[in-house]
Amino acid sequence: MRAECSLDLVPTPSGRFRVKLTQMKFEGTNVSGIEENQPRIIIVKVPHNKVLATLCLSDGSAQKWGSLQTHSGDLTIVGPDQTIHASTERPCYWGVVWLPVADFIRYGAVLTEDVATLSDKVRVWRPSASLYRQLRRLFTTAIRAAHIQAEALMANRASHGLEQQLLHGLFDCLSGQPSQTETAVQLGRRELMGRIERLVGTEPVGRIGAAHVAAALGVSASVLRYCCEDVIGMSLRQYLELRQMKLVHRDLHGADWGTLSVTEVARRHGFHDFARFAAAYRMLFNEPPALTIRQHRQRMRPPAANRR
Amino acid sequence: MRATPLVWLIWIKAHSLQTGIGHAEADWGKRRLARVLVQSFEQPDEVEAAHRNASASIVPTGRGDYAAQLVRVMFDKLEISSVYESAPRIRHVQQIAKRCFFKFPAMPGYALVSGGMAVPYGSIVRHARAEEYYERSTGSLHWGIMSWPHEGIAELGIALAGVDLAAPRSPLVVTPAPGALSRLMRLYAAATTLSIDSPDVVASEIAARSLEQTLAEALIGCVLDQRKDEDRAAVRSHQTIMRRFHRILEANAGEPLYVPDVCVAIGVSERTLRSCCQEHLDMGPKQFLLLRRIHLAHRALIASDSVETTVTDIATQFGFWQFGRFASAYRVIFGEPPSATLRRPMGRGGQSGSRMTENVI
Repeated sequence: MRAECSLDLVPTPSGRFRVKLTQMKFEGTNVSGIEENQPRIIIVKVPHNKVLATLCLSDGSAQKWGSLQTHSGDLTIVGPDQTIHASTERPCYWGVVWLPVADFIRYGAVLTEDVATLSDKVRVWRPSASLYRQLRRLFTTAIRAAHIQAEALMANRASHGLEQQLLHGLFDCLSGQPSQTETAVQLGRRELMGRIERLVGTEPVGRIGAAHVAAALGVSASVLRYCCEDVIGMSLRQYLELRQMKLVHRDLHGADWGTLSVTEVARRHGFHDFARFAAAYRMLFNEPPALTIRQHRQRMRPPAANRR
Repeated sequence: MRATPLVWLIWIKAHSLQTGIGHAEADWGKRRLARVLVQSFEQPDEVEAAHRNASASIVPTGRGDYAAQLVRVMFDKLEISSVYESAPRIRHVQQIAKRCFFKFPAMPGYALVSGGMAVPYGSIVRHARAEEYYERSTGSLHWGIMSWPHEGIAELGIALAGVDLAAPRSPLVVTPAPGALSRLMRLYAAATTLSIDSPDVVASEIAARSLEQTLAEALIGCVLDQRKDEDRAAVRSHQTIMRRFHRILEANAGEPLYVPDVCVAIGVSERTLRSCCQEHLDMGPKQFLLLRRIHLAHRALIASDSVETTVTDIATQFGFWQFGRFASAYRVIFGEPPSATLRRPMGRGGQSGSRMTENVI
């Protein structure tokens, strides 16, 4: 997915986050099927030359795109050069289509009743059940083909056929007016969340408080609070803690254990109360930080050493 | 099962070549060239190949075997054909520019729609010059077509009725007065029946001359004594779109095509293309292209070797990824599973066929 866009992921509940990702690169369009076992927040930055279309592939799946709650049966379109937080509250199976802007305009002009125009605002369509079912079926067929008919997909004629059918199914679902369109307030909140991400990304490693963020962005604490509640469903403090925790987890996986300790990694990410950190870590990843290290060491150990 | 067309070709050419060619009217009795051709077909491509004054492609749209019988009588100038087709089909036709064509349903029954215009029994289509059109039938159909050289019909119209009968700018469906129509139908039926039963009688000098003259007069009587149906600009615009549609199919013969690419290539919205196809083909472009793909897959299965190729390979090449659905749709159309077609020795086809559902990918 990172080949398509700038993307970051923050798992939100306890337990090990697992994802099954199937990606298909067609002539112009790229398609992914993503099966996640845990809720999470992802931050997606759509490139300037792409349009993002997403849909839920299983009945129980639901996902919030910015401030817009979407369910199975909805098709979400995010325009080029947009940054968006997408959050889930339970396991989710969803599909993504990355369309070049030129193709979106070209095919949109002929396949939709109202010419598909680009917009800064996130839009959600709710097509008829039969059109949605058809698109979902095309998606799952494509994903299954990627697993069991990968060689057939290599043939230009075959993959072009599948891409064309996917595009047709997608634009069939985009006919008519969107069922939800981001309001100006919702757009403002989404953009503010984007600014928060940029700020947090550029600050030195360590814990950044909500007050610091509010002051740095020139917004009031209440605006920040409403924004976070609306877009990511939690306070900024909770979110930043999760974000930092994810960085610790990543570093524990990738650390050079000759030189670093858990305490040191935690401290580098702004966790000074080690007991509290260990408890929060355990709650989030379902294991103590020491176990993460042990597992990593075992994985890294050469096969001969393992046998001994 | 593929069968060789059954052909009777009867040449009737009475002491013709010795006499001068420059005096057509004066030498009519001597220079006559009359032919009767009776043919039976069991495959659409055989019918396509049998077209003489047009190039045509045929896609059967109904279940069951497609078969056709053709009786063609070629007089000196007038040509008449009587065609019976056992199953519904879509036919794309590009007529030659040299002749002027008049087409009509020969029996009451299933509908004939030519160039998006309904042609009920009792009406006649006056085709435009070198017209290109889609024509569809909804069931078994018996229809007829009469043609005359362009130059000849202009002269004939002026001589017999003092009017110019040159081909119209765009096709017209005319409804002749009942008396004029029944005279034409009677003569047409007599001419075709006689051609089958007693071709030598039709070929006789006097009978051929008289039949040609009488049929021409009856036809002109119908066209003159007509109620002209409205010619609409929308019809012309839809015909232009359908012509572009056909150009794309022609340019990609043998290749699977899909609605998004076709719409972009023609430069029309899917909605417009759908309404044109609905009008001309009685089905949307998606269904038509699907039907075309399944026929292409059928041809590929016939032409492939079961040792080197699998049904899955061919199905995916033609855009079918749900093999169960493909197999059942294929079976509905061709009366056998795709694997049976593939197993058959190369070049031996199955049964022809038909309409299918939209939900096969």
